[in-house]
Amino acid sequence: MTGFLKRDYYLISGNLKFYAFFMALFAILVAFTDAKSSFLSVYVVIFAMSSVMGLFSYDDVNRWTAYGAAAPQGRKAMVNARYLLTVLIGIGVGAIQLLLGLLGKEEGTALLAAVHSGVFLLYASVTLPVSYHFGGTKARTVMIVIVAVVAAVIGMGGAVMNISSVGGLRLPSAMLLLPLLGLAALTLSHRVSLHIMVKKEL
Amino acid sequence: MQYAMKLDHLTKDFGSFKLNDVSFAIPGGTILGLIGENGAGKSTAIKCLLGILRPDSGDVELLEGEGLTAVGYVPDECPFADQLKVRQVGAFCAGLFPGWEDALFAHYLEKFELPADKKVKELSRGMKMKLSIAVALSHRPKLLVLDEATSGLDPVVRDEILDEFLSFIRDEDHAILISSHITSDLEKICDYVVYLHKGELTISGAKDELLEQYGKLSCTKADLAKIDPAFLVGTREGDYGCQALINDRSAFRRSHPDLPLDTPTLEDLMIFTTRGDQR
Repeated sequence: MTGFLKRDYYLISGNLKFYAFFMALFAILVAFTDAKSSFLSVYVVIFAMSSVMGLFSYDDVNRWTAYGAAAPQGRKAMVNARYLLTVLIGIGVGAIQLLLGLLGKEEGTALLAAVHSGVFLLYASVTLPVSYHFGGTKARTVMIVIVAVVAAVIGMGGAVMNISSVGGLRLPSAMLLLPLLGLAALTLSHRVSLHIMVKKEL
Repeated sequence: MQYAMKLDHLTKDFGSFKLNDVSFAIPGGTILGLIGENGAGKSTAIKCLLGILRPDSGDVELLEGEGLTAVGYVPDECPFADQLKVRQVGAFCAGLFPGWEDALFAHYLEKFELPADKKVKELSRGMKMKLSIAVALSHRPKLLVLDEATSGLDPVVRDEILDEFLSFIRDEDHAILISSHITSDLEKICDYVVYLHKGELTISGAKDELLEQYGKLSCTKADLAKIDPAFLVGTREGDYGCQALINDRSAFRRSHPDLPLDTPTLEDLMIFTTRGDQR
């Protein structure tokens, strides 16, 4: 599995300088201006999401999946590595939000970190099996549809939450559990992806 | 090791194309060339062998049960992403293949003149293919599987790579399965030949025996008309004469001692067999 993990890391690390530049910029903004980390760190979540999706595009271009499947234990190791990398990225997303929040001396940073991390893990838990099933290129279209549907549901949910908060319901604290929900979804997603990949004709 | 690989009654049906009941085996210490026109089923057979595709029926046996551990695979396109450096390819492949040796990879990089710090996108097609071969050889495989690995390469690079294969096969525990359109390459190095045509195994056997068994005839239309059709695999008629592939050179010589026969090439076997079914 380490080989697949390293390969994915090398591919993502190609963009690290670009990401590092933005992180440094965000850090300066939250430390020395009135900019809020919550807004800036949404970009971190977007970077993380596009990194994971991008790996599947690399797979398609180089027909990597078929090559990887011809390695010993290739199919399972390939899936395991990508999920492990996703968890590590999820931790990174939370850690960056915490760092930016601390630099900006903001309140509720831990909660925001949990939300960002959890949202990324939930997104990945859908993206990964969809990408394994459809391949990187088609999966982008499918994900646009899924995200649109989810956004509509969240929009309606948000309206309900606003009404509920009038009654004193403390939903924000429950958001601390979002990473755990994300991990649970990712565990289920991992099983689905393994099932897809073990049977898939490459 | 008796057989490095065995395909037994392999069938894979895609609807529009079917690899139908194909069986062949590679004895240890030999090179088997898989030939056939585009879409004949060569890559399908190789993918079934490596578990990339699931056969509908039939059995695959690799290295007497050792499986993929000791197989080096070289696909037709370089599988490594353009922005990776050659050194990084070696670093992650070390974690993919049991038996990987960094020193051996470094040896092949030097031998093939592949700069470790260059990105894959900076390599020529020939160099990319050499990189794929270096990776395949660096975990000391027993069976090397090459799918159109020499296609699109210039003759000098092809010759260099073919020499490497001949060097690999000196060990009797080693074997090579190579598919190629370039039959002259296979004629140079192969011990056995399997010819797939429209998903069916058409010709199979030891290369020297096949080239000895078949004969290529050049004659007039009048001479061709006198020949028993049972001898003819395929014919080509031109304005100035005819050519035909004869399926039994010895028997033909006995019945037609006046007609001269040449030794065919693998390309002749392919072309005449393909055209033969349109005769």
